[in-house]
Amino acid sequence: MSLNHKLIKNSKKLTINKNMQILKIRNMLPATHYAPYWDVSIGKTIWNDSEKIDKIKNWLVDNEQRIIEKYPVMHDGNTGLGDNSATSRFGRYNLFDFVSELPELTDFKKFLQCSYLDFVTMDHTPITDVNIVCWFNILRKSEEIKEHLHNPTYDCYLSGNVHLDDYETFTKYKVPYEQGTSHDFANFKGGLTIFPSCILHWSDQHLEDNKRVSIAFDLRPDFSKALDNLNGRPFMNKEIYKELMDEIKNRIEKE
Amino acid sequence: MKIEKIKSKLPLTEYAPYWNLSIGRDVWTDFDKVDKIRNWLISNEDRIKALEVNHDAGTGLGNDSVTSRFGQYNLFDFSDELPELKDLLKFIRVSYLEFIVQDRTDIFELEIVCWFNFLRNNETVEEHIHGAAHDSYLSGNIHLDDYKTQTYYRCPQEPNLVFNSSNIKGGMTIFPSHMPHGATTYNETKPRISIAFDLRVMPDDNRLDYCSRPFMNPEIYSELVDEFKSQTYQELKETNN
Repeated sequence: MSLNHKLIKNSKKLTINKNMQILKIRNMLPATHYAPYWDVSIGKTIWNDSEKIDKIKNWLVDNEQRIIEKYPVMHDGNTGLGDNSATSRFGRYNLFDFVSELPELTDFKKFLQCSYLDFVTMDHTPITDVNIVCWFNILRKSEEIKEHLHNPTYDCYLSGNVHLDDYETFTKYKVPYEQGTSHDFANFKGGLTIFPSCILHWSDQHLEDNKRVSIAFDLRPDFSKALDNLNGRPFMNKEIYKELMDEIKNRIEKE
Repeated sequence: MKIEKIKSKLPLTEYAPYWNLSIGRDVWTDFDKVDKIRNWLISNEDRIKALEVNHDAGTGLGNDSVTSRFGQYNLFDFSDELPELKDLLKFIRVSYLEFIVQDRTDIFELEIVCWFNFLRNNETVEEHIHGAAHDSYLSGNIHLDDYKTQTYYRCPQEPNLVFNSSNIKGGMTIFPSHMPHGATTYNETKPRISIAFDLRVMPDDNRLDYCSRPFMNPEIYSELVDEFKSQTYQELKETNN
């Protein structure tokens, strides 16, 4: 299937959220046929709506056990969090299916959609029809997320995470060829990181008494076969894009 | 020379990884010479270990190992004591040429850094790489007897993708220096001996560390080709007679 076929045509490129920053991790141009080359983009931005973040965090803490009991284990995605974690139920549900119980998820999803558009615009890549697979993670004192990646295959696209409070931990990203080097991102309230799904990442040990709550997601092209088993929901397509743009235009006109 | 390709499918998105890795395998079948080299290395391990420690390059073999002296000497500097090393160097050069011809890449002007490794019962070569800089090139190893171990080569972008190579007598593997690799635990009583090397491109300032020695340049290439031509001529003549 041609990628161009799936691109949203005539999409006007504009940045919505001015906070998006892209970190480029790039090596020198290879001088030999067998030297590696990498050019990785990691985006970071922030959702400033503290009240809504608190509501989402509290709902997740209150509903963790319900998710664990209701859905069977998928696997923990090599995070090391084990089968008793909410993480190991990823793909069995989609967090955005709970929007009727937690309306703040609608605004949260809009924030992610706008951030995605900002990211691809700033990174000069095309807007693509994608679905979102979305889940959450809760770490307790002394727990950590071990090195893992979400998708190293030919249909890999973008992943992301959002932290729901200020935590003293960092999420660390590693380019496959860089040994002993990591790119560390602080885990602060509302902080969103977007990265290619093939990038290894992990977080250090949570040493605070509180629960460390984060939301994670994969954006998967709608031709991805893995979507059949992961409860993906439409995240970006022509209609969603038009709706978002109309809403932004209306907001600007009102202002 | 046989090349194994580790290749991904063509990426379908802007953020999907792509890899196209070549691993070459060949065997030096002059087993008498392999034995002589192995025995010389056994006799001279302590002499090399008397050199200053460099580091063990992430192999986990530690500072007491002969491996940790890599770059403090070049194995081919002992060719006067052990003439079989000249033949080994020629074998590696010819294998390199076969590798790049089959892999359809260019010949580079190169230096070689060469050292050897001993593994004893219960030791493992931990996963490591030889270099991932923009000028990294090819590395290789040769085993000097049949060992019940395997060297594994991991695709850097897809950690679950591994190519295993049995460690056989005279067996040589050539691989991109940035590929993570290691060996399974050795469980025999005799020492497991291997020779390893890095092929490095000449930097702009013509300065290379690690006791590197010329491996490929126009003169060496010309000599190899002349020798090959005269061999072929001789073979043809004998066939015709």
